[in-house]
Amino acid sequence: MKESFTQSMDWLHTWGGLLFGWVLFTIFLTGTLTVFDKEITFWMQPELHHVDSAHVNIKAVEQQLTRLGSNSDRWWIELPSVRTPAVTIFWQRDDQENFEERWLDPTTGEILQVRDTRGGDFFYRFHYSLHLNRTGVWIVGASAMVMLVALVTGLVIHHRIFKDFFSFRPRATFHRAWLDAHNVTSVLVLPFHFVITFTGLVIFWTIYMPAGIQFLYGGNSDKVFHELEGHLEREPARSPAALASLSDMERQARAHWNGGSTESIEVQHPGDRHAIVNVSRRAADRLALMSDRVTFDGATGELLQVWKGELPVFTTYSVLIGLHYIWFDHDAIRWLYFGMSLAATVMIATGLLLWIIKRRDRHTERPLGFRIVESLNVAVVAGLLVAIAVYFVANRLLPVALPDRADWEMGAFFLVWSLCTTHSVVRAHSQQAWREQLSVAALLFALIPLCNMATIDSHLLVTLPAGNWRLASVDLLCLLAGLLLGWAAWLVNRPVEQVHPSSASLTGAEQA
Amino acid sequence: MGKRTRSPLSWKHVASRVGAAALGGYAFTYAFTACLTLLLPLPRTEALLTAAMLSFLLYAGAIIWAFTAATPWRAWLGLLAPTAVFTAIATPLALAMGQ
Amino acid sequence: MRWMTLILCYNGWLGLCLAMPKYCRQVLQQDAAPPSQHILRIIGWACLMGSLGVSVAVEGWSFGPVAWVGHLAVMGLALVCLLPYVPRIVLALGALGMASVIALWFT
Repeated sequence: MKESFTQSMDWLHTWGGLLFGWVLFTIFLTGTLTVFDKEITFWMQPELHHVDSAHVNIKAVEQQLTRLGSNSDRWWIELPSVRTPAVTIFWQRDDQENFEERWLDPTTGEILQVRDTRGGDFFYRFHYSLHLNRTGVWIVGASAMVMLVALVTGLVIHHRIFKDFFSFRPRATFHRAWLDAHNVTSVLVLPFHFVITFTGLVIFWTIYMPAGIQFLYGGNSDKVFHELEGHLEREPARSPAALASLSDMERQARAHWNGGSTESIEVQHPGDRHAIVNVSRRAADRLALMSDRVTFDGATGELLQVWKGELPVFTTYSVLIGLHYIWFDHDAIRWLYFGMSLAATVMIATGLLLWIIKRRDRHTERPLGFRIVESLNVAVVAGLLVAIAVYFVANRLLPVALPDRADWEMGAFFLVWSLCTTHSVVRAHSQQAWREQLSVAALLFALIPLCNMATIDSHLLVTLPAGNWRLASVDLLCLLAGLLLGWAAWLVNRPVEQVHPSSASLTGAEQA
Repeated sequence: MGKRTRSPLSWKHVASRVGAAALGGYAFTYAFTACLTLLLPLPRTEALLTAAMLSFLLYAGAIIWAFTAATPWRAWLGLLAPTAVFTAIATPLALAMGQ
Repeated sequence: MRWMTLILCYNGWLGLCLAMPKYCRQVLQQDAAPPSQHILRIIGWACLMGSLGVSVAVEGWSFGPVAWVGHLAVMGLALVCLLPYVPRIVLALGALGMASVIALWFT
């Protein structure tokens, strides 16, 4: 196994990268979309496109919650932001695990009828749990560890890292071209790859590495967060008392934040004499994902606590997870993250293809393992793209009143993805499978803006002249994705001999 | 890759080494993190976070080390021996601190 | 100002790129000896550091470095993608960019 350090690192990079590459590709592609998760959610809720969030009437929101959440022990109000125009309210019934959720008009407090969709949240959940709950979180964690190791081993085995810093030779042999693409997307974006992988692990430290919690807190991670964030809690007194004015408390809280805005208002035990109101600051103007908080006595409106995270390690931790979540308002950084994240996705895809390309010439017949890798490459890379496009299309084409509509959207995604997987296995030549799935993905992405025009009134012809870039960008990016995927399908389709007679290509060996 | 010049891989060795890296590495990191949390002279939430954040880098290092050790058995030994030591330090410490 | 960060990043990479003989030949499309590698390298690093300075000056120490790393990556990738296809335009873009930055600076 080992003749030298480099060889064992090469082995680790190759096999770790292959086995986890497929999962990593899905994590990074959905993560790329999650950069714009709120924008995607907004795009997927056309009923909110005309909501005006200039004035927030907290009193009206409070009245709505008093009506809806009368027998609930916890209320949650999320105020509008640049990225989300509506007020979102949640409440939890005593006897239920899940929160009820509604969107309100910020000015009037009226309930907005919004189509049932998971929006960009679907990609967000996929990104960290693959929609497999705790198991998925562990799979993602293991993949992130492999990614971290692959970054280090990749640096070790890349002998000519500085000499080939700017090398991209698309016209050289197939192997050379793909290796260059893999190297360039790794090296130039390395700080991002490292930071995003590391911070992704740090976010779930209580799950992945609870050693300290076990030994110091007897395994109680709730206790840890209470201590970290200095939460005040008290048992309900079981005697009723009217809630003091939330809008007064919100205004008082803002006075502590020199210019900061409010993200959310949480009420514990509303209507009880021991009610507590937490007003949290939006971490919009800082890297650290750390919400300053002002706590009031709900019944009297008396100020109980002003909390700011000030401990150095906790601040460092908040900056690290903030770098991953990018919940701050900074459009330029958001777009740069999108670009770098796309580069990371390309890096993983090229790595997966390289495994095939390196070994193809060595085998005249196709061993089974080889076929499996080829099929999985198509199913994961092209198939996921098709499924994503279908998810967007389903959001527009499924009837708005369909019961369990959000589940249907997700169902469409997973159904199409499994169809693509079947297709990639059934197709004898992986070249055909690539071409067909890439063409379908291209077509679907290009159709998305058209679906928009057919079904809703805030489509490109309206949003572009109005300068509504938040909506127009989604359509334009779909068009661009369609064009790029169409180009990719055309590249695969190209007769190989004309391009490079001397060297085998992605598909050449298969035709032999 | 130059794979053909090497002797064929023994699957037992590969599995053992992967096991040492994944499981042995995790055990080692877990024990070290526990120890560090208890020993760092910081407020306890700060010690907790410091050790937890460092643990992922340590685990990555442990995995890489397991693949460079001369034999799989040495990888197991090199990871589990310190694990035992750190556990032996951390357990009585945690008991003494009331957990 | 973001334009300035972008252009400085691009020209920084371009300088470092031209300082290496094999890329210099690729850009100039001839076997001419590259102009003083030493100076190009200094210019390249100066531009990259300058872009960090501009980014931090505009965005402060929290967002500045993060935005800078992003600009570095994206401009680096842009340069690498242009090199094999339009090697001559690579130089022209750098020069035009620099000119626009200087023009903006004085207006």
